[in-house]
Amino acid sequence: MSTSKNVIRVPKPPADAFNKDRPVPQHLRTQMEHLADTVRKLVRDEIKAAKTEGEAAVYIKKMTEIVRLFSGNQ
Amino acid sequence: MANGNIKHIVVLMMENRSFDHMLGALMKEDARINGLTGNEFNPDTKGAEIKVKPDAKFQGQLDPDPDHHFPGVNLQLYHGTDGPPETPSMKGFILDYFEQRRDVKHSHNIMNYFTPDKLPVLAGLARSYALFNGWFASIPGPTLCNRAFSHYGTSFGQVGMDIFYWKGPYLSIYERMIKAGRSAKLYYFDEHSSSLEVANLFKNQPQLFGTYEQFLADCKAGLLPDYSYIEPNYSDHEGDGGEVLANDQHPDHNVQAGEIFIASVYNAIRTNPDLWKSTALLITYDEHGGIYDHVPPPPCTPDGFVASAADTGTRFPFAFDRLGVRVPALLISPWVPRGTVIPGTEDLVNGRIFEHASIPATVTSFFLGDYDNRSPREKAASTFMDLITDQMRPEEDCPLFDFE
Repeated sequence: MSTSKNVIRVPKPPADAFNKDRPVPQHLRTQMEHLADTVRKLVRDEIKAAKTEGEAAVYIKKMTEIVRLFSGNQ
Repeated sequence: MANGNIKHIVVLMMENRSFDHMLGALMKEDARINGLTGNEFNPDTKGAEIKVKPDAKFQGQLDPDPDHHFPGVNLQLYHGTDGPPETPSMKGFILDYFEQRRDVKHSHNIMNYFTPDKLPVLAGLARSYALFNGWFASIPGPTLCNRAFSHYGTSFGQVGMDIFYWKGPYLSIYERMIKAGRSAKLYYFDEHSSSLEVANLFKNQPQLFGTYEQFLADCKAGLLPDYSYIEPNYSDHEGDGGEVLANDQHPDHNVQAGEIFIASVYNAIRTNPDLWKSTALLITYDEHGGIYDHVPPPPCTPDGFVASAADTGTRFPFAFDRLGVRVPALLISPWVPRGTVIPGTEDLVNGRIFEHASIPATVTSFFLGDYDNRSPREKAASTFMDLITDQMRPEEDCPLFDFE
């Protein structure tokens, strides 16, 4: 498809460009809060919507999994 | 209609780089580009006049992250003036960056720019397709409120980084499209990076959201929706396959990683012939990230909201009646003539002003036609599909990227 005339070479970054220990920037901190808030709203909606034992059990299973996930007890 | 060949609009929004920092040096090879002469300067805290320099580095130079919150940008724009409504002086960038580290020499880094040879992807695309001289951030402020304009055509009165809630009455562009029976998807990079700003729409997954891996698969399979919005990777993190480098170009993330990402988005569209001839790709940046640009942001149609002086953190309330700092923006399609430059504020007769509300404005206008329930800003925003011509460029005239 391409010819050598229209190919542009793209250099790659150095291996030491990766730094996952950088402090959390504010936009990511806000993103974390926004996700937590979204989950809180969905959880509240599901509690309100549950009318039967079966629906309660579905909710309880999800929340149990979330608690396990956040407490590192998987 | 010249743009009748287009079936897909794709938007890629990167992070925190100004026009002059990334593309200003192109003026040396094309005088139509409103970039840098080399004589632009800002005073430092010692009173010295520090000129722009072609010394920008891919990483390690803008650490700490330059201030780009409303009060900081206010200083960057209005130093030496009484503030709005005066025309911005664009003389406070070094003074504001000095506050981050209180190191005079380091504060000069905010005036550095890249030469085109350092950015073969962005500069290559700018030369090959259409470059906007006058695309501005929607607000002289940070990430979230600016990205909100690209999704909703407004930030609902927000000028900062508070959690953004949809307050109505305006729907996001994705919801508008779906309601009208069209398709739209926001592709975030991966689950570790996820989406900024629109987490409140997450309950609509997977209809509205996909990962970048899915974007690549959708391009290959010809399954791209009518409208796609791509988010880069916002963090260095461990992924399923090992280390994943941030590619959003937000300081101090590696700029070359962002170049590779931009090139991969382009290549994904470019290498599917049917998709290539039916797609318009817009690449832009959410805001300038506190980095120098020489063009004073112009006034704009007020948004119908007012942020109080307390909310702006300045002496002034803000009526959303002026734009943020200029950012890079490119329109890419085989139907765009090589070397197109869309004039901006420098051309008092033919200049056109674009901002992030131009994104939902264009997508709405192109796919939905008349649609009244939009913010005043979005209704007044320039649209860009008129830049698509009826002349398709030959294959050999459109570049491809090859990764080292």
